[in-house]
Amino acid sequence: MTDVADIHADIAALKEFTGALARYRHAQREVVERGDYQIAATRASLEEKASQWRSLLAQREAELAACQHAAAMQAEAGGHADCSAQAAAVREAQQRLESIRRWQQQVEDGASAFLGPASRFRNLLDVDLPRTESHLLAVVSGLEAARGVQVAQR
Amino acid sequence: MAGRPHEDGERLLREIGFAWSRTQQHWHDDMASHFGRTHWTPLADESGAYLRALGECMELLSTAERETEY
Repeated sequence: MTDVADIHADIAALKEFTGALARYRHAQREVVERGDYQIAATRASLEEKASQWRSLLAQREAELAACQHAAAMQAEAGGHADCSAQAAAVREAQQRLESIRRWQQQVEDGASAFLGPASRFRNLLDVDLPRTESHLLAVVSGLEAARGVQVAQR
Repeated sequence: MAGRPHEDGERLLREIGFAWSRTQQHWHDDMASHFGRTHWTPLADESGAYLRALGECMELLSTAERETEY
């Protein structure tokens, strides 16, 4: 003998799937938020690094200028001062700052390319999926009404 | 959820895919076919496109962080 639950297994399965879709929507919303947070966090981190290297560059440029000034004074007195270490430190800071700026630009380009799919996915989660869930509930209601039953979700 | 966001998102997509497969075992009339074409396929495609883009973006962010650690 066929169980009543088997006859209406489609209705029970649809109810279960509708619930799964709602959970999917909420969980993917969290994924979207975490992705957005990661982008913001990396932007902030790179800006912080750029700020630190700008400060370091200014400090090293001042040290180089002081060294060059001292070297000029010593040269007048017939002496010699070597500022190559200070000059190398300035070049290092310039290169690192430039590298950070390039990565900042790459992150901005990547974030821009990501905007389209992210916007469409948000729309899917906020607009399309709730409609899909409503559609499934209407299908369930139609099936239950046609069969004169109320099927519990498994 | 504790992993990287796109990996968690991909797991969720796999799980909802399994849920849809289970549903299809019991619901396979014309309405089900129509639902598959007009609702399920766009959902799966759009989710997949987003998660691939998110994965690429997360990879770029990780590389940017790593390459600027001095």
